[in-house]
Amino acid sequence: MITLTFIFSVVIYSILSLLFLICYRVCKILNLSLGSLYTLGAYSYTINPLAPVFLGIALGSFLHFATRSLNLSKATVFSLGLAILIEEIVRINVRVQYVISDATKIEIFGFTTFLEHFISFLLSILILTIFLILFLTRVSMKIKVVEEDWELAEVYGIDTKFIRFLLILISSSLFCIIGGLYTSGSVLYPTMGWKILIFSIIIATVANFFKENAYLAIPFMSLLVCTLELFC
Amino acid sequence: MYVRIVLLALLLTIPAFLGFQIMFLAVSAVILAILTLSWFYMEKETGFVSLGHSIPFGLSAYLAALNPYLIPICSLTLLPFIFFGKTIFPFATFVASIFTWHFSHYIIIDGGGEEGFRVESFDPSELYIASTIFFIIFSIFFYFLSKSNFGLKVKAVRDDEIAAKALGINPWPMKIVPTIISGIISSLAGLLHAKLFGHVSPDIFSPFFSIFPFVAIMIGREPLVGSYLIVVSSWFLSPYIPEFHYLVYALILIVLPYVRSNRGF
Repeated sequence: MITLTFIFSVVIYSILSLLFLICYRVCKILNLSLGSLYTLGAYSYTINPLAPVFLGIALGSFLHFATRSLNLSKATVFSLGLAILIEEIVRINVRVQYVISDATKIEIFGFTTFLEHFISFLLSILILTIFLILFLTRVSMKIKVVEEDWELAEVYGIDTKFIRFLLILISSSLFCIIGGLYTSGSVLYPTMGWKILIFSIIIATVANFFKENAYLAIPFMSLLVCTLELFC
Repeated sequence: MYVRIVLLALLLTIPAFLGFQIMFLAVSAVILAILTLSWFYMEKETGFVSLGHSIPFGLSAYLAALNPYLIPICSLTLLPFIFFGKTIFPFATFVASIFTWHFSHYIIIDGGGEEGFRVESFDPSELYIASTIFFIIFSIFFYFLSKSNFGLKVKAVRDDEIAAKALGINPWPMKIVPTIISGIISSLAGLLHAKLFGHVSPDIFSPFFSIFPFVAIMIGREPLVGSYLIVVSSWFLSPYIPEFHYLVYALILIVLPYVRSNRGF
């Protein structure tokens, strides 16, 4: 059980850190609202399993349109305000501090786990694989140009605003969806997203030191952080 | 200027005559005003916008319970973050404050954890006098420090570091010393806060305290006025919306990027 949970954690922290780092490097925003989106996903999943998808898309779109004309610092302050707003709206609606989320038990290779955790693991693996494939194609070149120089990318005819919109949308939705799935079977509380955000920031910050290989370094950093967490 | 001084004097003195409950609320507001004052000095003089003043504030409150002799080290806690530069500083301090908030749940020494620690409390009326005197002294101190030769050098480094270097000013002491001064005063505010409530828990590191000075200045323009506005409005509205202050925080942070100039961000 611990082995399976450990593998799930490494993969899920990898994808969440990757999304956080993409937001920072390509979209020029330290998206501090991602932790609250994770919490929102967790709570909304208990009401309707599809709710995290819609909420992620809606809030991701809102964040993009609200911050598209702001610089990195101002966009980050905005995302912090959004994070607190989401968390407090959850708190006002839930009132009860702790909610237990339902989950379905399954058995994989003799280990008992939750179906929702397994789905979030598969989803994370899928996104990581897609990202790896994209890394080898022309699409990633476009993203890299936007990452390196926003204005130069526009000169080359790349639709930078669309790329930013798409990446914020994907990251917000996935944080919401993974929040809904991966917290199933556990106790929910309004501040739970901060821990996930801190872990993602730590992994992304360390990986960022590897510059152009930062995205590839993320799974290894995630493995290191999860191992440290396991022993601490 | 005179109107402001009279208004501040009234805010500091009137609550003493309005019964215990109002006075308790006023002590809380004045202590948070000291925290805001220390934050405001750092922001105004050095241009570093801290979202982590809850670290020296909360740590000194914790050390008041665990080992008061270690309280002086609290003033150094913000120092490592100035090496990140002005752009990263707000976010680095905020992440550190959230990390400290989570980590503080695991501090267990004969108690602690989520419950926190008991601190020997002082009489609120004595604390009211002490915190008011401290607030006045620090306000005067910052006023003269800002006008001094040192204060002008700090401002020169804030406005243009390269130009200040060309004039022969070493920029690092001009960043380090105000950060330490700000840390000392916020630590003192934390100590007074712990002595007022007689208890300290991980919530002292929560975003309420890390963003409080920032929001107090935004809505009140003055540390004392802003602190009073937040503390009193939260107290009046808490029976209906306990999270009122957080909603105010969120709305200010959302609106702020559209109205604030580039200084500090």
